[in-house]
Amino acid sequence: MATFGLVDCNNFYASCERLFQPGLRERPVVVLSNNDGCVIARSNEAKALGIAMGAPFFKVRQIAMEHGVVVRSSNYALYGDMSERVMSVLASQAPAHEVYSIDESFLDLDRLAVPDLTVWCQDLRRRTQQWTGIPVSIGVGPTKTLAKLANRLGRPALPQGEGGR
Amino acid sequence: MEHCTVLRPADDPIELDLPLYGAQVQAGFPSPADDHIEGKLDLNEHLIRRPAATFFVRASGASMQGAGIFDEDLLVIDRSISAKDGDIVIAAVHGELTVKRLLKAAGAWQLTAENPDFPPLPIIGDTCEVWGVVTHSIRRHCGR
Repeated sequence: MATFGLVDCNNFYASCERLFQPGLRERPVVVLSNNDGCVIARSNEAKALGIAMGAPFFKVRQIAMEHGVVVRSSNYALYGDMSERVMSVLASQAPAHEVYSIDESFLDLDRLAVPDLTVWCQDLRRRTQQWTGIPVSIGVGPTKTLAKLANRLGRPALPQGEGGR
Repeated sequence: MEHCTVLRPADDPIELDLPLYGAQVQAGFPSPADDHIEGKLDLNEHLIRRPAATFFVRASGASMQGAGIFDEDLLVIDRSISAKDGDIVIAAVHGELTVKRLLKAAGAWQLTAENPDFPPLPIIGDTCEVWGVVTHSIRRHCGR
């Protein structure tokens, strides 16, 4: 049976911002779209405040101010560079991979001869985090759809049960 | 505390091989017989072993002078290397990045400056975290 893995960077844009400013680690962080219109990335702390993916910023400005949320304009040069780093680590470890978006990649794990796939995935997570500073989650399944679903189920529960960058 | 800023390598680093002279350069009179070319050197290749894990940091302050790292020096960081006792590291301390030497003294980890004016920082709980290991430092010796 085919085996796919889906690697998804956790809160990717917010994680990129945090890497270079460790002071943001414990604080809620959101990243806004071009011209600072909408929320396009949220740290887990920002998700816990109920700030929704895609929310127009003016609608959440009040709650962001009340809770000391760090608000960032998007920096696509940075996210593009960090994405390339993550993808190159994945490419070096998996037999084949297919970049699915700036922060997701499908791995073809069919031809991977390892005794324990879970241990292999845990090592890959650790390596990606150490090399690039970006935390990732990995889901594995017999189809890409199920790998994606497994990825979502492997994450900590959040209000509204949503994910995204 | 003095802190550092992280820079990323250029998006499209070009390979530039320049001649590498074989003689060890001594601070004295060179032998005329030594001036043969040994090969080509590409600085990117020399300084960057694993591009996906390499970052540059501009050092700031005087705390690492004893290790030969001065204000404004450019540091090459390889995050793929796991830090060991004695390594010079970039560490996140109270939310700021700083360059220090990682040492184990009497069983306890600490970050030490290489300047008697700066006391060592004990690593307690999660107030400190190693961000990456410094592999090279680059200093400009001529301002023009």
